[in-house]
Amino acid sequence: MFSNELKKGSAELLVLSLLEHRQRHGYEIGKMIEQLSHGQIVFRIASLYPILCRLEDRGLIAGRWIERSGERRRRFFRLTAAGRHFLQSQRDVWDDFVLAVNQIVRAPK
Amino acid sequence: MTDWTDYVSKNLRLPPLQAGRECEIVEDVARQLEDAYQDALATGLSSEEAQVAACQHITDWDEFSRNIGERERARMLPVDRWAADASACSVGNAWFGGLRTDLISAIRTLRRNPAFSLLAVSAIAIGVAATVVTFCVLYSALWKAVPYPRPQELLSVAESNPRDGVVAGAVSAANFYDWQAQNQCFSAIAAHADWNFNLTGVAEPERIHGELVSADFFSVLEAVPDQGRTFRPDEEDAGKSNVVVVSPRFWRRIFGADTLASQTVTLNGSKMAVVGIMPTGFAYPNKEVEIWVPLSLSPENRQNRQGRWLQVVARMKPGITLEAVQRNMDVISQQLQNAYPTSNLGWTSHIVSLHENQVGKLRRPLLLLQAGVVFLFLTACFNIAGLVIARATRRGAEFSTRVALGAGRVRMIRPLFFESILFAGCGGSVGILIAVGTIAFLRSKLEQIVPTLGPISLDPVALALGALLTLASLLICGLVPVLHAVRASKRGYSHNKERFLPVRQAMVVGQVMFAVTLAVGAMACVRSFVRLAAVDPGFNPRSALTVDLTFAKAKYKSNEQQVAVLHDLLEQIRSIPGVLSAGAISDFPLRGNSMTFRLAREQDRDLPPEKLPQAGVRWVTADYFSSMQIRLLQGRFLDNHDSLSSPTAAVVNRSLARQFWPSVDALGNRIRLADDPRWFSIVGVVDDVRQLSLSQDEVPAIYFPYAQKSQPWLNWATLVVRSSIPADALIKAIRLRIRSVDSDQPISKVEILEQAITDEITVPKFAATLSSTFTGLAFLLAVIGLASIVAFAVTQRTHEIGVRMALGADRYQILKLVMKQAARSALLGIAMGLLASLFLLRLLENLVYGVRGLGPAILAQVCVASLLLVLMACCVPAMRATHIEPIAALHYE
Repeated sequence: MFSNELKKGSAELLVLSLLEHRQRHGYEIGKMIEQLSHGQIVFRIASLYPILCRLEDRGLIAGRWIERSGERRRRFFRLTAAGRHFLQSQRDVWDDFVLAVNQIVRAPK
Repeated sequence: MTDWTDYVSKNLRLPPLQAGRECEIVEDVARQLEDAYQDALATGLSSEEAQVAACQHITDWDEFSRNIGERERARMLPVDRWAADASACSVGNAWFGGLRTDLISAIRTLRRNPAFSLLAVSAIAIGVAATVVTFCVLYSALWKAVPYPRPQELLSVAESNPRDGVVAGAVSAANFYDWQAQNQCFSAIAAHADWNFNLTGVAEPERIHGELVSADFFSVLEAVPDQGRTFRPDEEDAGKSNVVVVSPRFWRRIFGADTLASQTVTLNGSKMAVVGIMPTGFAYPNKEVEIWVPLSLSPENRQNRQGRWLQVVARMKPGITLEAVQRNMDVISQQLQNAYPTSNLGWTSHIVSLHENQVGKLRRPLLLLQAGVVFLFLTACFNIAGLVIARATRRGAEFSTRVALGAGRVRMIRPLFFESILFAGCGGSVGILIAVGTIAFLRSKLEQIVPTLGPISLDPVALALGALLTLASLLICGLVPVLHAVRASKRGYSHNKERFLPVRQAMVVGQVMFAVTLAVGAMACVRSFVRLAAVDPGFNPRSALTVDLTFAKAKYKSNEQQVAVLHDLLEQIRSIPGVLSAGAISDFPLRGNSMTFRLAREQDRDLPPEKLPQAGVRWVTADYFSSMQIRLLQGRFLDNHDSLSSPTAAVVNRSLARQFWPSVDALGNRIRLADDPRWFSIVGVVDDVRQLSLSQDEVPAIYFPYAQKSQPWLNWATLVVRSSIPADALIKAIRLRIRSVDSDQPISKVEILEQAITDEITVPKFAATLSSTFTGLAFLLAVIGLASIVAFAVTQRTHEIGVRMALGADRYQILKLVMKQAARSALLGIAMGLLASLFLLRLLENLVYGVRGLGPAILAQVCVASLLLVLMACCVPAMRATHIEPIAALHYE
């Protein structure tokens, strides 16, 4: 398990990445993060819910209530155009960051 | 199994949010917890264990609630925060909480209908602004016209002679001094006369507007100087009158200083000591006057009863009525008539309050304008009330439901009233702001159009009026719908279909009538303006400018001197490169002046002087006619050969030729001035020019050569210079040339001739623009009113229309059905408007140029235009009715 600080720094990028190709509801996002990271990154509803709200306020994602047959209605989020743009730039920043960190951490002694 | 919604509701503690928002959050969080629970169950946990696992997702509910709550509050609009708090506190204080909720609901309703809100707010804003601005003008022109202590005591005293058609004319010096000595009703009486002065001894000599005033002048007005003193009684005596009181504007311009020391100025060649500076704002008799000089008359002039040239202002003793003053003055006038029958026979005193004298002519048009604006404002308010009612009627079903659920009458009506408060409050505030801006931007323009003594400003009185209007709009827009709603609540909302319609129809009749009447007025103004703009002044105003000169009497006493200096000046000006021609005249056109003298033809030799015909008399130099490009009809122009030593010659205008020699050729006839024995041969006939103003026909007039004049009192001339160079450069060159001839010669006025023509049509243009704007607004309001009635009829009769269409009614019948009421109101409005216009036209025929005879054409045009507009206003919403599907209509309600 990673520390809260590490998780906090990458939370927005993770959420936006998961919404890149399809819309998902809140719990599903949290579950996907846990599954795809093999249980290494876990977000509880208490911490993921405010992140989703924040991203929605900034116009990077948009939520709407959808009722699927046989299910109760849920709030689904999708990436907005601004969010797509932001995700792309954040990905580049992340790549640069990882590269920079690796150059120090993995530098031959 | 846990009810997760209930679980979240119990744990989540949110601050007051918008209605429904908290439920959404609760549902969202509950769904996620439920998903977590279901996932846990799927992994094989027992129900209890799965529940615990789900609950692990949110362990610190306080932290979570604060997190969500703060964010939700931050993204709310202030009004929504206010509303949320209101509904939260309504639990504790139902009445006030409800009040806030209603206000919020009104704000939301208006936000949901931005077009309607904008329309209503701007209608009130325009109404308030227009009323406040016109009131400011009216207030400055009418109420602040006499800005002196106890203005009701101030009187204007004049002389009248009904036999000669003189009403409120000027007063002779001898009569004034007799009035001063004999009256028992005035605490003080003073005479004054316009008198312009040449100011020399300064860098740029100037022609100054001044006033000759008797010693009591300032005490009559009770005007106190800002610095120094006014005149002492002995300063009226010849020899002691070399003192002057000046305006602060003059003081700053000439001396560039603020405090009075022992300065002197040179006026008409005499050194005068400045003894006082009047306060800013003192502007009697008008704003142009910059200096006041003692009226110092010689003993002979004091005894002169024939020359009437003084204006008289007096202050009545306290407690005396105007009638008593008139009686006292009548007795004195009768005594003077008996004592001096030659000069005073038929002359009586004419007394009106100074206020009436200042504003008499302005009152009617200004009050008319104000009445129109107020009517427009009221129309706007009633229209908005109508729209609010129409919307309230559409919400009849909602109201019925609320009543059925137990809502009280006050609760039902309050939101409607709050909507009106918002319209009135926003409209009123915006309107006052617009008025402030308009006054600030248009002050100088307005002051030019309406001659007021004081500045036009936004007074507390005008602001109070703005507040009052806002209140009035609130009462009309608020109370009319509320009264309607009260009535409706008694009858049941859903059955309140036709009850209020007659009132709205009456309002529309009034609106259409007002719009039609205004349109006729506007049309008259526009036609008048167009006619005036197309008037041929009789000369070519392009590329010409005029310069007014008055020669100092001390320096240029004789005719010869005056003629010589004018000749030299013109020669100098003609030598400026680019100057095509230059001439001069004693009495320039379009200045409202035409000096009139008695003239004798050869056949009038035996007539006594008072029986001789009168005509305008002007003295012109060579090149005047060619400089003005006045058309020559017969003979020749006056030229340089018409000098003092050559045979006397004159040119007459077409009107004089026609009046004096109707059946024979004017050329070759001889004519003379009644008080000049020399006979002048008519050598040419020129076309008429607009002498007095563009709107007045030329009077019969004769032009004598300036070089042959025998009147030394004629010490002025207006130069006309036609050139091919820009006006600025030309003015600079003319100043230099004039200074090269006489460095003390001031220029009193420089005017670009085309600008003078433009200035002439400023007021008619303003009237045309203003009335057209008002007409546009009035018609817009009327069209909205009509359209809303038709739309209302369509909404109300949807079911009926469906039935009728199902039974085979065609579109024409449906159109007739829904347009009937509106069309009836509109036609009645048009008819009443046309009737009112007949009276308006009669009034305008006397007020506006060139409207006489146009009445029927204007009425016909307005009638056709109004019918078309009405048809359009009714048709657009009525067409909706023809597209109603019978099946849908039958399901309506």
